[in-house]
Amino acid sequence: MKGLRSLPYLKHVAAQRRRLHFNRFAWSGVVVIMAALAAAYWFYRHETVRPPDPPGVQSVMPPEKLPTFSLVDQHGVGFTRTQLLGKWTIMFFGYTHCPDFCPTTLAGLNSAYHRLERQAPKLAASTQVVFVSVDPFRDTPAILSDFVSHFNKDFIGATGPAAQLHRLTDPLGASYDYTDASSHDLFPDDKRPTQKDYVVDHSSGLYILDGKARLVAWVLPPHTAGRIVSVYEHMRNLYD
Amino acid sequence: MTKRGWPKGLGLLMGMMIFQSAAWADESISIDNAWVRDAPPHAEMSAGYLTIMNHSDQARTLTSISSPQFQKVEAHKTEMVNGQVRMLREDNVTVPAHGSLEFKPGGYHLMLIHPLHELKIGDRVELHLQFKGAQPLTVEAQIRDTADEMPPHDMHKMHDMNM
Repeated sequence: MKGLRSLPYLKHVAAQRRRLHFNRFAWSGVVVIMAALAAAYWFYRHETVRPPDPPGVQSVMPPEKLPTFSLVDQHGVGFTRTQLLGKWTIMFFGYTHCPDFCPTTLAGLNSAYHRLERQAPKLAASTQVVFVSVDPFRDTPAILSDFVSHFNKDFIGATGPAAQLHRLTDPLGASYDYTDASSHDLFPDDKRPTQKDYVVDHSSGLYILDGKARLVAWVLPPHTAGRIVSVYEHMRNLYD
Repeated sequence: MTKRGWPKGLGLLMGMMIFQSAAWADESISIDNAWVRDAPPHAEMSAGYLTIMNHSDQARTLTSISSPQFQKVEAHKTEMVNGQVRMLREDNVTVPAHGSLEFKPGGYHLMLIHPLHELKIGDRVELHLQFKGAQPLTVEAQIRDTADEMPPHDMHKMHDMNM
């Protein structure tokens, strides 16, 4: 008797279990769909809120983390990845025997830095400008010091052997070659050119790194003060 | 020197002056806005800029430049190739007929190699420009402070010191 009475009850319990089972399944489905919608919305927001790059600027998403490297600054002190932490960096590659492009760019960076100091002192205080010489054969720390401080006493000059320079230039997508100014023949990779007055072809861009030593954007010339300031402020606004 | 030597020397001097003024009568080339960037101390290199105007019916070619204040001067051109900046020596720079050519930051520039003495802002650099088939043209370029924007065009530093 008990068995007959209990059969509908058991069916009821089983049905309830099935409903519960279905509900659980449905709930997990809802969670998955909501998560997908949230992700889609986030991407949508992210894509639409983030303004397009200004002309001649290539932002890097996600920012590219730099490896460790070991250079020497204009005071003869080690300049490593640690020096890129805690401050944003505007980095530029060149050499001191470059009379036109490099001085023009450093003068532009100096004017830009002064404008930042006036317009956005907080940004300026958390910004460093680093000139990396890709001509370590001729650019000793003393020569770098004369060169860099001519434009701004706070600017950093650094250089090092080819292997260390490449640890910096390669991930940034920067490059340099030693060449003959007349024939434009290339000298063998990274060795001191046999010719006395060789020139160096080098990347013309400015590289903007955040305070975690990550490449955030690179900027093509012209490197005028007005443009440097607007691009730099734009990048800082995106991340700060 | 004997007194007899005087008229001879004077004649020669006058002859030279006449010859020179005849050579300078060719005013097909004029130079404007010549300046030199204030270089860092002990810098091996500096850059000079100017505008060459050719008023003649024929293209004129700048074949060499020299300065008593630098060991060597060359015409160079900064070029951008695939994001790389490079410098090329231009042994001959041609200015088109009734045209002009501007030497300016990021383009053509005079590469001033190895200064023979320290130069400071306001100093004048003497430049001798040699055009094909002409007497050398002498120009004075003032050393200017490094500036971000293009230098103003209100400074006319063209001087014919031989005149």
